[in-house]
Amino acid sequence: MNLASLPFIAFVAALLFLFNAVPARFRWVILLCGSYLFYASFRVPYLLLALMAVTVISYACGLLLLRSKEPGARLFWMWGGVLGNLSILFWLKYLPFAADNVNAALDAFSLSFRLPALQVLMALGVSYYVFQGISYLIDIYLEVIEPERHPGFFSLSLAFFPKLLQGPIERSGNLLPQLHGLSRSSLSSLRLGANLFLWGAFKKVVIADRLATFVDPVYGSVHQFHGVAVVIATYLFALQLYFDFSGYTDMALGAGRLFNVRLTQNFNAPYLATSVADFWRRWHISFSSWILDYIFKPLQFSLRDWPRWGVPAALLATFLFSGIWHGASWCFVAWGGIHGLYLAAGVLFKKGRVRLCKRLGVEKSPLLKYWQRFVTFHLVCFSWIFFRARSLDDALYVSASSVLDLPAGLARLAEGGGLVEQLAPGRSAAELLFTLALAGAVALLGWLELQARKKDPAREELSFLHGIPFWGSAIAYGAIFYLITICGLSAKGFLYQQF
Amino acid sequence: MQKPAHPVTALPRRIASLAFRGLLFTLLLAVTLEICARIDDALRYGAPFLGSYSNERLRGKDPLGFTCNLPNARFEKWQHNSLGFRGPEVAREKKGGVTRVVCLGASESYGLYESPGKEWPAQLDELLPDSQYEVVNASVVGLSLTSFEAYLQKHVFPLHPDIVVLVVNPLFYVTGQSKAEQKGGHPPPAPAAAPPRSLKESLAANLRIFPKLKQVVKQAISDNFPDPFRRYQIAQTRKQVEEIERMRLRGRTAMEAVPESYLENFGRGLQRTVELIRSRNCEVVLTSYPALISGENLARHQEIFLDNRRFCIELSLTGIVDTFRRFNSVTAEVAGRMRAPFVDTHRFMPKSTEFFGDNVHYTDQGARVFAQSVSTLLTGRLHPRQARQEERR
Repeated sequence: MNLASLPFIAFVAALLFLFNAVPARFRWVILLCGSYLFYASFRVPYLLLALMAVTVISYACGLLLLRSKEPGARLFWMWGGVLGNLSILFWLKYLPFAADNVNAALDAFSLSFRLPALQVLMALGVSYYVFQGISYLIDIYLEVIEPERHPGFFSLSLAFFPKLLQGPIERSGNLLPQLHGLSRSSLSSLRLGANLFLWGAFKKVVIADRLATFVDPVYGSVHQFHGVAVVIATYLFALQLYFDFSGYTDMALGAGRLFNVRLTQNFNAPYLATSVADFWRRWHISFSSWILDYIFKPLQFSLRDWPRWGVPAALLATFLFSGIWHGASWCFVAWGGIHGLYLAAGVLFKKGRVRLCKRLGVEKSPLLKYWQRFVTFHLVCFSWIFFRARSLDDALYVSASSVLDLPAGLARLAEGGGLVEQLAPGRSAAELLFTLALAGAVALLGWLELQARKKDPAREELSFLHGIPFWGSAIAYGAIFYLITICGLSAKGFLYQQF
Repeated sequence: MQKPAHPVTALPRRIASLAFRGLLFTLLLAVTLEICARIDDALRYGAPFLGSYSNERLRGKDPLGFTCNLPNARFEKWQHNSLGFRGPEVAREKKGGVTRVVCLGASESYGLYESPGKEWPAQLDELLPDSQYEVVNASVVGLSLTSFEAYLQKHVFPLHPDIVVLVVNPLFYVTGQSKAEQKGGHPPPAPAAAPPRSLKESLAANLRIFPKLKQVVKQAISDNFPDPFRRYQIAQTRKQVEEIERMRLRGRTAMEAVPESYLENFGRGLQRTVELIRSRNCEVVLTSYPALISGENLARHQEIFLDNRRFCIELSLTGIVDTFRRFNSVTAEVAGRMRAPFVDTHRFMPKSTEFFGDNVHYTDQGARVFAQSVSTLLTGRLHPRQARQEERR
């Protein structure tokens, strides 16, 4: 059941009715049954088993951690739970990749022994709830939170359907108290939830999926495209990925809000970041804060005796891990490695950069920020090549062609050869311009809201939609609804769902 | 100081106010949707912002009363050139050394489900070498064999074609013959002035948002709940078919097989058409008429078959299957008798919904197969005219 689909809307409407019809003490039961039903709708039985296994491991280890007083026993239960959860993730997501690489290594050493070829399994949402389970156990171990004693609430915290497939990766400290106090949906929560859902669907089916129709043909057979086409396709992919993932997040947040549950916002204008470190504070926030807290910080602590290289090494290792989390492929490892290198270089050359800015006299110039944004955006776009390409070979081709074939492509443009003709022969430039105009409008509204929320942090999301007069909102809803239903493309799967 | 309203009187006022706001909101929403639909049509298809917009813009009646395509007309993806043919501009006078191929048929050749430029004549044009061939799609939706002669004289012969590829819809022929029989051989009288439309009909005809939303909802339901949707569709179509049967057959039973007289008339009519075309020093290529459904796959595509019956209510389900089979063999016989090149497109076309949008209209892929089989005949063998000369010799 895709979030941007009619069955999902019908499912949420039915669940919402039941949620509000039953007494307060049974609301969690409705949400839990609904969440399992939602997961079961994908008709992959082992996924339900995996979810239940992660739930049982995390819940049991959490209670055992509470009962154990000995530090050794506590460490044992913490690691036991973490490794138990990771083993499920490894089995579902990484086993075929590991087997393939072991076989390649055996081949390289001319050894005849081979591991059996394994079928790639569907791991929909597994990495998200496994990470939540791990953070739950570590937080209990570090005595940040108390373990949840009620198995129902704990199960719901892992399985809550709006965030099950693609996060946000919620911390139990944020989610569990909300689940304990589930109240009937108010008119304002319904309105805000519906607005967020509608806005997310708009980003996904009108903008992201339309951009995908320009990106997919290029990245589907990169060797047929050169220079300008691959550069533009990469820029468009950067936009597609943002609108796809932030669209999903808005829909998830909206669905959560209908049930009075506030999930964590995952994005904060990431392409306005002034450095790669800043980018990671704004992109997939729930994930980046997770790897910061549970991977980077412990690594940094253990490498504290290595003053100059400790932090860069910790950053590199953290982002290599981040890469492999995104998918069992060398492209993702390379993508993570690139970000690790960016961040490590950022730490190593920080003083030099400050000195250079001072020497150039631009450290207080407003232009510096724009330059930094420009550079950061391009660094991130370069890394997206590895994220999107189907193989390392494709990614290297795109990287090389973006530079080497660019002059020829630009010359063709100067001669009057259309940009869209190079990117997507047979498609109209008006369609691309229309999509980019919509993307620009959404970005502008997002930016205005960001400015407004800087002044008033208590302001609700999408204030521009419910701050307008009655007649204006009817027109706005009409236009958005039209764009989603008629101009939207039939929603494909979300990009981050595969992770 | 203003006195607070009494709670008992305040409640109905509040309800009335809420209802009014709700109504106003719905109205504004509907108006916005309609305006968006009109802007969308204007941007996408160059449709007029005001006024009605339907496929009636594409066709009109010529002075003889036959349906023909209107020049430069456009409705959604369907667009005519200045001569009223679907496809790019064509000069009346053909270039020297170029063989002009005119494709003549009904909606299956005009194109219905195909993307623009993917109807089979357009794909045939792609497949044939540009320097040697020029393909014109002169097809008109609803064109029957009985109208071919007049249509050829008025619209096709002025183009001086070298080859005419004929695709004759047998169902139209049967329906036409049956209607003529009912009227005692006389053509049906001109319909009386259309009765005034009800408000609902008038809204449905003029509002552009309804058909768009209906299509989206239908698509979403069929994608997500294919089996219940199919069952619903079958039940609905069956009801419609029964209704049409009541109105049109008036107690008669639908034909289980095509009467021999129809086949004989069809053979004679087709032969006359071939002779007429040849009299203009032009070669004719005949094709069989591909259909998705046969006796074997009837159960698999029940909804498609039932839907097809709405357009030829005179024939029962077995009657339709029989019609395609027997008319195709008559076409093959005529081709043999007249020594005209014949392409058995029905045999080449795989019987699956990948190739058929419904029983007789093709998808892009189906149109490709059709075009390929015609192109193989035109390029793979001798030029049809040369072939005839060879045989005469």
